Order: sequence, then C-alpha cells, then structure tokens
Amino acid sequence: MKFHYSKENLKTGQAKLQRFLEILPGACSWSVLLGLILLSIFFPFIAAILIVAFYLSWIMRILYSTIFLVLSYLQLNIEKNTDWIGRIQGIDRLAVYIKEISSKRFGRHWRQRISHKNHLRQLNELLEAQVPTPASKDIYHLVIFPVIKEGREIIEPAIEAISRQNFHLKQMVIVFALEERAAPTVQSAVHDLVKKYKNVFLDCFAVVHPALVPGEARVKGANATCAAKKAAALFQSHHIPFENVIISCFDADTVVSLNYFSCLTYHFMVCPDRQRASFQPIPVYHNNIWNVPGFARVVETGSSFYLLIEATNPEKLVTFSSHSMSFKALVDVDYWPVDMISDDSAIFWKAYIHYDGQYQVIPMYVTLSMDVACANNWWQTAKSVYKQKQRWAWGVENFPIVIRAFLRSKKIPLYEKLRHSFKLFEGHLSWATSGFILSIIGWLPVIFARREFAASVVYYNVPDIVNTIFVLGFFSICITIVLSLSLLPKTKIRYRWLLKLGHALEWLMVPFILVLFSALPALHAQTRLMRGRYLEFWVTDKHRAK
Amino acid sequence: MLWTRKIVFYIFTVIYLIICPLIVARMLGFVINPQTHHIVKTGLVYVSTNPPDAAVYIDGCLAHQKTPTVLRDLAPGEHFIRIEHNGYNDWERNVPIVGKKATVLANILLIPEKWPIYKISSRPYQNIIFAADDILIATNPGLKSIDIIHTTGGITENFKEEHTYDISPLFSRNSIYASGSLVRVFNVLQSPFILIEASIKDKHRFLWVNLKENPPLIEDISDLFGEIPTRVAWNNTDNENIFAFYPHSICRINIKDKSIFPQGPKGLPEGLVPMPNNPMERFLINDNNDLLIRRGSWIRLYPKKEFASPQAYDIAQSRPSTNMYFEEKNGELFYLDNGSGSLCAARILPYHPILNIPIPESMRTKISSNGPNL
Repeated sequence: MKFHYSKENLKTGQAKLQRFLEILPGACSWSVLLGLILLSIFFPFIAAILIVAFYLSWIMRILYSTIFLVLSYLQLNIEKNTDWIGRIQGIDRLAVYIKEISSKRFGRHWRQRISHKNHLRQLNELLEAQVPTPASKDIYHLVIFPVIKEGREIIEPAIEAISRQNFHLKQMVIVFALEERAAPTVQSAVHDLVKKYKNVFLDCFAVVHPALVPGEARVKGANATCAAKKAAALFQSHHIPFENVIISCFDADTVVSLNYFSCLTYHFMVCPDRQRASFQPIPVYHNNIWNVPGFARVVETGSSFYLLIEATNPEKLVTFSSHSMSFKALVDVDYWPVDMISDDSAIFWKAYIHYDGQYQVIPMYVTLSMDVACANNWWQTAKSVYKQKQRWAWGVENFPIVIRAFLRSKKIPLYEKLRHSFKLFEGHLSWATSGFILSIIGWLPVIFARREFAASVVYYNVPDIVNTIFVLGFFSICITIVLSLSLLPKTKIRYRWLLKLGHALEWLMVPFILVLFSALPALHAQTRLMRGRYLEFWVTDKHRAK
Repeated sequence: MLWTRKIVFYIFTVIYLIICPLIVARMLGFVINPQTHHIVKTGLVYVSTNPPDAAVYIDGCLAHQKTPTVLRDLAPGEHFIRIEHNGYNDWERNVPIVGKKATVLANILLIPEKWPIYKISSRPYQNIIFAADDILIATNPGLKSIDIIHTTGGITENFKEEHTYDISPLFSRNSIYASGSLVRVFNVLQSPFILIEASIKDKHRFLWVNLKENPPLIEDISDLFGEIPTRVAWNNTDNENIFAFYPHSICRINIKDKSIFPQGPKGLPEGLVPMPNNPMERFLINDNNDLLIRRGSWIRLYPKKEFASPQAYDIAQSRPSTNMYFEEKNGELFYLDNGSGSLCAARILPYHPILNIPIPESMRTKISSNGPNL
C-alpha cells in the first residue's frame, strides 16, 4: 500500500485523526494513573480489587517472560559456537548439503544437537519454498554508521570489529553517515578512519549529510537515508542487484561479535521471503558496562533481556536499535523516515504497511555490543539514561501513523491489524503506568484507608496477597540476576567475584529504576506527544574508560 | 519456539482467568465451606497485645502465629478468644464476627500476674512534681530534703530494658537556702523551670530553679514580687517571662532583665496553662485504650471493655492527695507509696503500643473523659 509514513503534510481530516491518535496514549496513561489514585482515595475497595488484579496479571507476565528469557538465553548459548560460514557454504549446494547433514548424527552435546535440528528445519523450509537462493559470494553487506558527535575512541572499535569478521570483507561496504554540523575533530577522525579502512573492504567512504534539508528533521533517519542513497548509487555502478545486499544501520558504538555477518548472511539465505524481512540481533551493552553507575548497568541489562524475551515471538517482534534488513526492501519503502526519531522501529512499520503486512522480523541469536549511556558524573549519567529512555519511549510516535495506515489498508488482515494495534498501544500504556502502579499507587488504598475500609477484611488481606506476589516476583528477579551475571563480559580486575556480587545487589534497585528510568520517561514522552511538543533527536552521551 | 510461546501464553491466560476471581473473592472474605460446599462470607480478627508474642486460641484452637496476628476465615457469629502469655493473666472474651468485616482487638494490655513495682527511694516524701525531660521533684517540708530524680535509659521497643534513677538533693547542705522550709511549688507542664516559694528565716523567698542545668541553677527573685501571689504561671516555650497573679492585679515579670510590667488580663499569652490545683488522678495509656485511675488511695487499671464487662485491676496504694505520674516514654507509673511515703515506679506497659492502625471508632473502647462507668 502506498502510504505517506509521516505526521507532516496531511490533509485536514487525516491531520485531525493524527492529532487525536497522538493524544490517545498519553491521555489513557494519565487516566489510568489518576483514576487509580482517585479510586484509592474515594473508593479504596474498588481500587484494591483492581490493583490486586493488576498485580496478579503482572506476576503472570513476569513468570511468563522469565520462562522465555531462560529459553532465549539457552538458544543464545546453543548458537554460540555455530559454524555459520560452514553452513553458508553448505547452502550454496543446498540439495547435496541437506542429504549430507540429514544422514549423520550431529554433535555429542545437546546444544549441538538442538542447533543442528533447527538448522535442518530451516533448510527444509527453504527447500520446500522453492525460491532461488543467492550464492554467498554474491551477497554484499552495507554497513552504515551515522556519526555526529562520537569520537574516534567510540567509532574505531566498531569498525575494527567488522574488519575482524570471519565473512569475506571484500563483500562489505562501510559508509560513515557524517552530519555536516559534526565538530571538525569528529569529521577528521571519520576521514582518517576512511583512509585507514578504504582497502580493507570493498569500499569505505563517508557521506556528509547537509545540515538543513527542506522536509527533514534533525534526526538520525535523515542522515542514514542520505548515506544509503549514495551507497545505492555505488551498488548500481558495480552492477550489484539490491536483492543481494543486506543493509545494517548501526549506532556508531556498535561492536559486532566475530560471526555477526556470517550469521546474518545465513539467516538471510535461509529465509524464503528474505526481501521482506528485517534481522534483529540481541543488543547487549557491554562496551563500557563496568565503567558506569550500577543503576545504568541494571537498566541496560534489562533492555537486553527485553529483546531476548521478544526474540522468542517473531510474530510480534519489531526492529529495535542496531539491526539489519534487505536493502531492496529499504529502497522499496523509500528509506528511513526523515522526520521521525524512532527510525529503528519506524522502518519496520513503514515496510510492514508498504508490503501490506507481508513483512517480518527474524530474530538472530547473536549479540552486538553497544555503550551504556554514560556521562562525566553520576548525575549527568542519570540524566543521559533518562533522556535515552525517553527517546526510546518516543517510539509511541509510530502509534498514530500505524493506526492511520491500518484504517486505510484493506489488504492487511483485520486480525493482524488488531493484534499489532493492541500490542503497540498496550505496550506503551503499560510502559508508562506499570512502574508507578507497582511501586507507588499499589500502596495507596492502604495508606489512604479510611475507617470503613480499615474495618474490612480487604484491608488486612491485601498486604498478604501483595507480599506473596512480590515473593514470586523476587524469584523471577533471582533468575534474572543469574542470567545477567552469566551474560556479563569478563573483566581483568582482581576481585571479580566482588564486582559480580555488587552487580547482583544492584538488582535490588529495580523498584526505583522501574519508576525513574522506565515509567517516568515513557510517561514524559507520551505527555509531550499528547501536548504536541515533539521531541528532537538527542544524541546519547557515550564515554569509555581509556 | 513460537508454538511453545503460544501454548504457554494460553496456559497462563487460563490460569489467570481462574485464579484472579478466586483470589479477589478470597480477598473479599468469601471462602468455600468444606462441609456444606457453599460459598460463605467470612470475617477476621486482628489481635495485637502488649506485650506481643502471646499465644491466641480461637474456639479452643491455637492460632499459627503469635500476636500481633490476623485470624482469617471466621464464620460470622460469636467466637471465643483466649490469649495466653507467660507471666500474665489469660485474656478471654466472646468476640462477635461479621462477614466481610474485620474485628480489631488492638493493643490488648495483658495484666501481669504480679505488677512489677520498684522502690526508687527509701526516703519518705510529701509529694512529687513533674518537670520536663524525665525529671521528677520529690518534695518535703524542709528544703534540704527535696530531691531531683532523673529517669535515664534508652528508649527501646521493649520497656523491660533496665532504667536507672539518679537521685540528688535540689539544695546542697552548704546552700544558704537549705535551712528553709517549703511553702509552695509552682510548675508548668513540659517546662524545665520551677518556682519554689519558701520560708527562710521567717521571710518569704521566691527561688527560680532551672532544672536544665546540672546541678540546677537557683536564683532568688523575691525582689520581683511586690506581695505574695495567689498563683504564678508561665508559657513552657518562654524562658524569660512569668506571670504573677495577685488578688487585684497581674504582673509580667522578666526574669532575665529583672523587670516588672503591669499586665491586663486580656494581654495574657496563649498557652498559659497553670497546673491544676488537684493532683492528677487519671491517665489514658496504651494508645488511649486503657485508663489508669485513682479511687481513694488505690491506683487501678481499667482495660478495654469491648466485648466484656469492665473489670478493674488494682496496681498499688498511693498516698492520698499526692501526685501520680505516668511516663509514656518508658511505660512507668510514679507514685508515693501509701505506707512508707517512698517514691515507687510500677511498670504498666511492657512494650510501646502499636500505633497508627486506623481502627474504626466503632471498634474502639469507648472511654469517656470521666472514665468507665463503675
């Protein structure tokens, strides 16, 4: 469906609908919070019943998520030592390869056997689909690094990690999407890196994005789009079909794991509908994890875990942060939105609408590491983390546009529309309200208890029920702590166990983090959207210990 | 994984849809009667005692938890509750339970088998007076026999922690006032000052005593009184001005500047509350649940009277027409023993009462300011 994926230049009717849908999430979040507060004061019975029902749903959700966090973590471990290059080479001669691996028992360890089973299933699906698969030697990777204020110490590790890949480097093109308004030191660092890595890859160049382009906002998507268009021209000049190009748009601090591109190539090759797919790795924030305050560590580990849980549900998965996709799809949908901050999720919705719902996100159990937002001191870091979360929560800007598109689309099945709309709306609503209800509002009926409420059995039963629910919640946090400790990168300090113990204890800050770095920035973002005070792109502070 | 996720999702949804209404119903006090298999409304009883950790029996069955505790799932109607604690008398009542309602038995004061009474001083006294900051003044006709008693010791949840009492004479033997005799003492609640009217060598003297200092600072301010006042009062937040009430006039006396100002009755400051002439006869204690009262020479405790007829417990006999004083900080009652006249302390509250439970008025003991109906 042709759809103008933007809030700008709308006709009167659409503009009014857009504005109404912008108000809706924030208004609902505020209604839930204020409604519960008022109920707690004037009708504590009803408030207590609603809050207990909410707590129960929350604990069910937590336990459910914990199960899939563990499964997803196991899947990540299972694919840790997979020989992706070997598999890619196998797919190049698919029919023979399937026969070869079907006949032999693969690996002694249960992890290898599960990985092998998954691999075989994917190959059979590919074979059954009877779609031509490009040869691995014909597949090219385009990597775009948008840069505005990141220094060389941030960018160089990212490009170095790509240069160490076990995939053919001459099938890779690196583009630095440099903002014209970037500081001269940043610009010269980028040009130095271009010189250094020019001959390592098929090509490596910088594209300077002009500061003021009509119709564009000061957002990352506009910068990346400018670079992608230049790269498209390059591929055309080399006669490389866009169908064979995979685009990865990475934050400048993204350090990919050694086999990221081979894993990505594998998933691209085995996906029958690869031209209508994005590929989502698991982002972890390990680059500077031991150099940031404890709360920031917990916040970002929580974000990684959220993605790990979401990865188990490809039907509802939406692209987030650094990810990859078919370049043809990117060109078809006319690149990233140039006036939206949440380009990472917006590109999924743009493609999903463009292809009338025939677009998917394929989870990849491979990590890429980024920086935790970090500034010069504790307070600045807290502000930085808060602003970053607010920017993530600004993804709510997609809601009105997606709903408008769903209302117009006749080809996307109604069930799919309802499912996605509900997930998008409920996700943002619970993001902005759950933390407040769990940590603050849940206690109000007891605090504001008037005498008639205090004389009821409810007054005495609620604390017991809530305590039991929180004990179950604590059980879930314990599992999270164990997984968090096993995911953390090794450090070369003397008392590593002490550091890990400290990190385990940091998880006790979860109630505060839920409010300050999750619910509050989300509510802030929704309130801004509700009031029409649109957010400008703000580049996260990133510092590393030298 | 997708199918696993879907299956687990539906299982969790079904579990939620089943347990949520059950838990909400349970929260509201609805349970299934195991005998009749009918859903019945139940009530509960909240029991807290002073001291805590008492065993609770309901209809003869021991509750799992000691006090403070909540006894749930009680069928509407009367239930017999007995509370037992080592060293204390059993507490027994028939308590009515109403469906969906909580019956609150908060801060039940358990009566010890024998009241713990300590003799603080063996010297007999004529009366006791209370000043701020844990200071008691034990008076006698001779100024040299007036003692100051400081009650010391940390404030803990458990009042059983031993307190010590420092006793020292108000006037040292060498003091020029030691040979005098006491006429009257003026004091104000929560004020660290007292004014002693004494007769020294057949002359009326007024001595302003600052009890905050150790030893107390005594200042003769007799010159500031033109005649003998009927009473003297001051505001406990004002350390400089006192008000002398004469038969036909009132004067403000500035102790610091040694100046006197005539004062009209309208200009008297707020909070100028003189001590009552009659000795203090009753105290509401234990978060206002119980009453300490003196009838004749007997000091008696009237515990909460809800769900039972009132019953008084004799604590001790005190000297008639003398003050008694209940110190909330350590749960002790100070009085002069009827026989010997010595200063005694009886520990009434073994623990700080549990406060801030929004107990409905209907559940509280109705103790009027005049005390229970006897």
